[in-house]
Amino acid sequence: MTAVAGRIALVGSETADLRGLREAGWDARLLDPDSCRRHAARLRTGLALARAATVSPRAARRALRVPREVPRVWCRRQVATRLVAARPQVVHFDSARSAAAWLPVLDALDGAVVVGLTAEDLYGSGSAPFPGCEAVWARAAAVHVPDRALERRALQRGLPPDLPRAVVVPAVEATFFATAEAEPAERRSGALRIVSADSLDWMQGFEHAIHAVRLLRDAGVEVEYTIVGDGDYLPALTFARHQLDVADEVRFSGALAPDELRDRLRSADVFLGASVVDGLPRGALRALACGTPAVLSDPGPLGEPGLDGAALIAPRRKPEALAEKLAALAADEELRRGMGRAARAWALEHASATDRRDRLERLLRQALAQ
Amino acid sequence: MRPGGSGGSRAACVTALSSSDRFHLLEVGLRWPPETFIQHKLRRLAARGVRVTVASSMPASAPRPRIPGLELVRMPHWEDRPLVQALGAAWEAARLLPRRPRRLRATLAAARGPLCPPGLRHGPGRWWLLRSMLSLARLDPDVVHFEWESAAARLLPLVEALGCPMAMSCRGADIDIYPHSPLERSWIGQLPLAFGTAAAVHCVSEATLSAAAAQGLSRSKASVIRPAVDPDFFAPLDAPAEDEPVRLRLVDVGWLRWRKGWEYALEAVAQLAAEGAPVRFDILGADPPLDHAEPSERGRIAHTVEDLGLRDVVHVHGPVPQTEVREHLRGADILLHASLAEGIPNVVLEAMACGRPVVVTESGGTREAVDDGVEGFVVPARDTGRLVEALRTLWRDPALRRRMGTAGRARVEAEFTLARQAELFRDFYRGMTDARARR
Repeated sequence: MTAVAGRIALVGSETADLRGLREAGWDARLLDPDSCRRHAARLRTGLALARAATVSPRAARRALRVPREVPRVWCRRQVATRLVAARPQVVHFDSARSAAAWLPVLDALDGAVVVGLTAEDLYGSGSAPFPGCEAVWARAAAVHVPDRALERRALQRGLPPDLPRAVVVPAVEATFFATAEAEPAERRSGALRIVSADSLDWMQGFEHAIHAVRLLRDAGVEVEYTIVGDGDYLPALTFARHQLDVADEVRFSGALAPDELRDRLRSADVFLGASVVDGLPRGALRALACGTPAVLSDPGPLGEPGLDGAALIAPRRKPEALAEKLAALAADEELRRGMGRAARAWALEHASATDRRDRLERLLRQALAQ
Repeated sequence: MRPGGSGGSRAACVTALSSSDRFHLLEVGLRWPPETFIQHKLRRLAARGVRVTVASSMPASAPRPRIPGLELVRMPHWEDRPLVQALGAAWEAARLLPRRPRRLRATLAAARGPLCPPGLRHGPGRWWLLRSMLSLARLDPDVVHFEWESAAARLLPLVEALGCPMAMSCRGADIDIYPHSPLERSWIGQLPLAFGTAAAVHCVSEATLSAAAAQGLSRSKASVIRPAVDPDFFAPLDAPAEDEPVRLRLVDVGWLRWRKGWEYALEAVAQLAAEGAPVRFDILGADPPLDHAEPSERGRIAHTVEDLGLRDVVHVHGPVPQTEVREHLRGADILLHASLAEGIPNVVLEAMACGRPVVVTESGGTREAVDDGVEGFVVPARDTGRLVEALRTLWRDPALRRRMGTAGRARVEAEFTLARQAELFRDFYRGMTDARARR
C-alpha cells in the first residue's frame, strides 16, 4: 500500500489534474460548483454541513456565507461545506478570482492554498488584477502561471515577488490531441481553412482576426474561417462579421465537444490566435498538439520554451500583419507541413498532462512543506 | 445665453401650447432616470402641456422625476422571482377588477393573443409580461411610445390591451447589431410584427431607417427625427482655443461598451503619440448598466492603455455630469469618436455645438451630421490608419481646426436644436392623435 502524498481539494479544476494527482498518490477530490446538481444542492448542503460542523463549527458557519453569486448559490454553498468537511491539507483553485470568492471559508481552514493564475485574473477588471487580489496573495502559499509572459505581467500588477511560484503550462492532453495519425491534412479544396478556438471575449482579439480574413479575401485568397467557442462577445463578433462583409467566409460553431474540437483543429490548415494579451491561449496549445501550424499575435516574452518553428508571430492588433502571415502559409504547403510537425513536437514536449502534473506536484509539495 | 439662440425657453414653449398638444403620452420601457437625450425630449413635451407618463422598472431607490408635469409608474423588474411575478399579477388584477372589468378582460386576452412574443407565452416570462401589462392597464393614454426596439418587441400585447395607437423608436446601434446575433433572435424575430402594429416609427437617421426597413419597416410609417442638443448650453468659449497648444487635447464621451470602438481610438492615439504629437486623450464614460447585459470595456481599455504605453496620455474619468462634459469638450482641440455602430451620436453634436472639430467613424447616420472635410473628418470604422491621418491633419493645422469648429457650430444651430426636434416630435404625435380622432 503506497503512502498518501497529501489530501488536496481541487476547486473548479479540470478532471485531468484530478486524475494525474491521484496517479501520483494524492488523496485528491474535485469540488466543482458548475457541475453541481442544482435541485439536490440544498439537501446535500445540509448533509455536508452536518459533517463540516463536526470538523470546525466556525468554518461550517462561514461556508454558508460564501460565495453569494446567484443563481447557483446553493451549489456553491454545497461545495463550501464539502470543502470544510474534507479537511484538505492543500486547496487548489484554478483561478485567482475564484479563490477570492472563497476567502471567508479559507480563512477558517488550515490547509495551504495554491492558486493558478489565468489571463482573465490579470486583465478582467482594469489595471488592478481583480477585486480581493491582495487578500488572495496574502493567503496563498504558492501560485502558478501558464507561461513566463503572464508571470511577468502578474509581477507588474502586484503579485508579490517573494511568493513561491512556478510556470505550469496548461495541459492540452497531448495524448488526446496529438494522436499518431495527426499528420497535417492535405488541403482538399482551394480555400484556406482557418480555425480559432477559445472563449469569445475581448482578450482573444477575434475582431482583428475577422478583419484579417477580410484583408485576405481582398488579396484574392479563398478562405473558410471557423470560430469555435462561446462567450459574451458573440454579438460584437457577429456584428464585425456583418460590418466587414465576410458572412460567407466566417462562421461560428459554438462550443464543441472535445473530440469534435480535435477533429476541427486537425482538419484546419492554420490556427489563428489574435489575442491582445500576454500568454499562449489554450486553443493555440491544443492546435499545436494537433500538428496544426499557427499564426499568433505576439504572446509576449514567453522565455523558454519559445515557439520557434511552430507558429508565425504578428504584432498585436494588426490585422494586416496577421493577413500577411496567413497568406504566406496559404501559398506554401511545405511550410505548413514543417510548422505542423514542429508544433506537435513542441506541444508533446512542453504541454503534456504528465509535464503539467509533475510541475504542479512539485509546487504542491513545496506548499505542503510550508 | 446667446440672443436669438434656437434653444428656446420653457415660457416660449408654453406660449406655443395649443389644444392639440394636450394629449396623454405613455412612454414604456425606459430606465429611470433615462438617458439625457430622452430627458430633454420629455422635458420639452411636458413643458408644452403634453401629459407624459413614464413606465419604468426602476429600483425603489431611484430618484423621483424632477420634470414638472411628468408622472412615473413603476413596472415589475424582469429578474423578480416567478412567484413574486405571479402574486404581483394577481394583486394588479384584483385592483383592476372592480374599476375596469372590461380592461382586465382585454388585458388577459391580449397576454395570450397573437402579439404575445413566443418566449413570453410560457414559463417565468409569462408572469412578468402579464404583471407588466396589468400594472399599466389602468391608464388611458392617447399614444403609447416604446423608445427602444427591444421594449416594443417584448411588450407588444400592451398595445392591444390599451387600444391606443403605438409609436416606437429605432435608435440605430441596436437595429444594426442585434439582427446578426443569434443571442437576440427572441425579440428580433418580433420586430416585423412590432413594425406592423406601430402607427408610426421614429428613426434617428436615414441610415437607421434603412436598417429598420431591412427588418420589415414600411417607409410610409417612418419619420426621421434626428437627435438634438441645446446650443445655448453647449456653446463655444468666448476665448478662442490656442493656436499652438502645449498639448493636443482629444476627448470622447460614451458608454464603456465594445460598440464604441475604444480600442481603435486608443491605437490611433498611440500612433499619433509615436509620431511626436504631444497628445492627451480624455475618456468620459460609465460602465454599461446591468440591464444592457453587456460586459464593460473598462478592463480592455485599461489593458490597452498599458499595453500601448499610454499611461501618461490617456485619462479615463468615469461618468460625469453634463456641465463637466461641456467643460471637457470646450477644453479639447478635437473630438475623437471611433464608434462601430451608432444612430447619430449625441456627443458629436455636442462637440460641434461647442465649436470643436470632430474625427468620427462612418457608422449609422454619422454622415448625416458631419460632412467629411467640413465639420471634421469621417473615416471608415475599424480603420486606425485613417483615424491617424485625420488627427495628424488637424494637429498640424490650427486654422483648419478653427474653421471646422465654426462650421460645426453653424450646422448644429441650423439643423440639430432641441427646439426644432420638439416641434418635429409634436407633429409626429399629433399625426397619430389626429388620425385616431378622425376614426
